[in-house]
Amino acid sequence: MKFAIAVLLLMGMTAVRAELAVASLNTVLADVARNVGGDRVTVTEVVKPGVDPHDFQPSPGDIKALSRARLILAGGLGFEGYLDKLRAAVGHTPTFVVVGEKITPLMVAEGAHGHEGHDHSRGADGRVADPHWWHSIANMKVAVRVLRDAFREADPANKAYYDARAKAYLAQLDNLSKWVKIQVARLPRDRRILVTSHDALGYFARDHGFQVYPVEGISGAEQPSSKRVRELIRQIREKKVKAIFAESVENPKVLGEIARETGAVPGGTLYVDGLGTGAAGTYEGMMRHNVETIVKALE
Amino acid sequence: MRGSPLLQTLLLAAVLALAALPVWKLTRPRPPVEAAPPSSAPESSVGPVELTVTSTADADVELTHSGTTLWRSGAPSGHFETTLSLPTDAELVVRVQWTHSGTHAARFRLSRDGGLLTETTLWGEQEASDVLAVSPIPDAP
Repeated sequence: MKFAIAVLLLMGMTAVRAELAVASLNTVLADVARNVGGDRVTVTEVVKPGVDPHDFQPSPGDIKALSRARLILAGGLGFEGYLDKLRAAVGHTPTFVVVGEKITPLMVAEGAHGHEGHDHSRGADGRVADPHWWHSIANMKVAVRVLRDAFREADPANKAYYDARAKAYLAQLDNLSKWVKIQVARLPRDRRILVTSHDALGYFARDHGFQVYPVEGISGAEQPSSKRVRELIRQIREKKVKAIFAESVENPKVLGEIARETGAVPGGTLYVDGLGTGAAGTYEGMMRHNVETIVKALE
Repeated sequence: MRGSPLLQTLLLAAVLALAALPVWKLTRPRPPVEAAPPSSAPESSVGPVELTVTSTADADVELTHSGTTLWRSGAPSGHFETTLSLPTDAELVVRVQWTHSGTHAARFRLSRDGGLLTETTLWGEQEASDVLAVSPIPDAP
């Protein structure tokens, strides 16, 4: 009898505190989900910090875990090239929340992006959408609202909870945005030049008046043309760029050569394709790290 | 008759030295790049601009541009007026520090010949900062 009562109580508690199961294909969205969802969601990071998302393909184990989720979060704009296959594989239970569908994308010339393995969203003029939308805090605020709405729809009993947490996180992003503006204002406009491994900071550059000079098409399998490297070296010398930046996941060998040829110093490591670990393991931490690294190297 | 071994050696050394010259040019370390001077130099400023700061409580106020202080208030006050020479297309960091507790506001207003160029209001409890972007200022008629 006591055992039956205990079981009934446990079932009751579980029913009240059942958490919304969310799986994320994007480390930034996993952080947003934790901020908006609090203790009412469980977030499974399928793509983990430190993993190169360009090389990621979901394994059978990942697909199994994704099938159990109520919501699957994706960045979209072609970043997850496997998304269509994944939709077919996980069945009808999970709802896909593709944040990029709600973002007005930056369109770039194909080849400027330097990625492999993405199925880019393409415009009528052949230009492709830059999928790294999270480097604009304005886009992050859109993401917060998208996730809030998705959580509300999937778990209406906790609507007020998600609303309150989203509001608090939006205020946090406003403070972060102001901080970024103040830090960047330390740099004269003619020093706002980012030489990076690949073209992932377009939204940040647009918001803060930077020019980006990426080493295009660099991966383990693909090197930029010698013409591209010569042109990049010429531009760096002409504009007297002080520093060039490596990325946390993958860096081309030619980046070191470019540094040696131009005299530009290594400015530090930036997190561009997702979150890092430690202090850079949250969106705010990642942005603060990147901005501090950039401003310190270029001022 | 064979050539002189010494002559052959000297010839070989000369060829090697000639071949080494372009390799040395390619591999010598380059001096670090000296950054271009900051563009906050006043040579691109356009005429006098009036700054007016009004605050709900006495405050210390500072304006910086590219890390350099353009203007700083003296004694704390709720109202300041001064004339500045600003670089064109400037991003100014405005900072206010209130001397009293509580929530306060401070308005920063830039004008020229009586016409408003830009303004912003900062809210905060002890201090607040923001960026005031000044678009390229049209030349005075």
